Amino acid sequence: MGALRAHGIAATLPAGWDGRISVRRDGIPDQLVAASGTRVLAARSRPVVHLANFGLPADRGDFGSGAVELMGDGDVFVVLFEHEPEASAAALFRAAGLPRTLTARDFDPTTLRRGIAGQSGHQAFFHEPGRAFCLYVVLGSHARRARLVPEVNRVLATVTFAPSPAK
Amino acid sequence: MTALVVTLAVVVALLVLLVVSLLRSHAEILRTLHDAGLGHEADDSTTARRAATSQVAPNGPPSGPSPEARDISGVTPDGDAVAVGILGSPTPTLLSFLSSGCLTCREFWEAFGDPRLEVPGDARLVVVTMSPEDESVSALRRLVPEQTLVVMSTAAWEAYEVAGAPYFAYVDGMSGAVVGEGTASNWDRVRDMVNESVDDGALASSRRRSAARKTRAARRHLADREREARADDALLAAGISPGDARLYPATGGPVEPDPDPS
Repeated sequence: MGALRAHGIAATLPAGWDGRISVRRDGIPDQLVAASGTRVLAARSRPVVHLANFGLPADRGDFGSGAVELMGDGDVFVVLFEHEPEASAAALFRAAGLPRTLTARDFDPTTLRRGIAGQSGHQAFFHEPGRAFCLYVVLGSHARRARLVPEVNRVLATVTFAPSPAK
Repeated sequence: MTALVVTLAVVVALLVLLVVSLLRSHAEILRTLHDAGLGHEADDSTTARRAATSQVAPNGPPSGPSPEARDISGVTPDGDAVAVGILGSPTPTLLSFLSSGCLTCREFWEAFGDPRLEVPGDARLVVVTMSPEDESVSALRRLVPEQTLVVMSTAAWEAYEVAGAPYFAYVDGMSGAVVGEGTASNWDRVRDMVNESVDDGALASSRRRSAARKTRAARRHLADREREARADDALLAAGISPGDARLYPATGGPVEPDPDPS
């Protein structure tokens, strides 16, 4: 089993799973005031988590472009994308907590950000204390969703969040 | 005068004795360290010797049987948390255990930066260094080519029983076995090592063994289920159904778990 822990997010992966918790620096800039009084802008860093039961390619987008094209029928790909903390108060993120028990009915081929024939997707927005996230899941085969969704749930059950990201 | 010459001769003899004993002591220390596998870099002659004798799975590494394959996890030089799934993967994995300080490793760091690099055995290349507390992160950042997956994990070195860099393990995720391993002084040697393990049938035989293990386990499972069904049929034929008090001679019936043990 692989254990991942970084930026206030942790997950325990089943055997054979790939995972990565990285930070992206494309957030809304923070205005910082230097000791000299100079005002500077610095991009906020926000984590993005990729979990997959296949080998993740090095070159891939936040929502899996570059990876989803490689998926086979039995593959699943999970993204946890953190938004600005202020977003946790927005209506879009009002659902409390990561949804951990997805069902086959939650998946729809039209939910895919990058429509690939045969695949299926699910997207959900939620908040953990002080943090706002998007969960995005891609299944390699919509037809096999009844078999693949439990795989996803098995991993989601292990994900934990710290109230605020580790500095 | 004679006394002076004799004294000088004695002093010179003592000094010679001292130097000889120091050299012997030094040699002992070096031999002990070598036997213990310490030191991150084997010199070229050692590398060549090990490469020539410890390449592929059928014989395994010189120190004993190959370790079982395991998934690995750690951090990247950029501080990302990373896990690499090896077990069950249909694509074999070539683990390259390197360090930033090992001179022989330089050639591999440079080779991995070549976009035309062909990884032998259709494998996925994963570089494994020691954890940040045992490795220079800043030096690694200068060495690691873009797009190369690097996992910093001392635990992975221990799991694969790696004593020094460079070291390579060709792992078959389907059978969960290390089918080829050893050290090498250049990428061509690694390619030979992996190709030999594939050509020698180590990969195929590893998968056959794995399939045979699964078949035996499935047969055992089926046999257990059949035995259980036969026992149930015999009990039912004797008029004993589930929950029958005769099945629980000590208690007179099935014991319900206490919902509140406190």
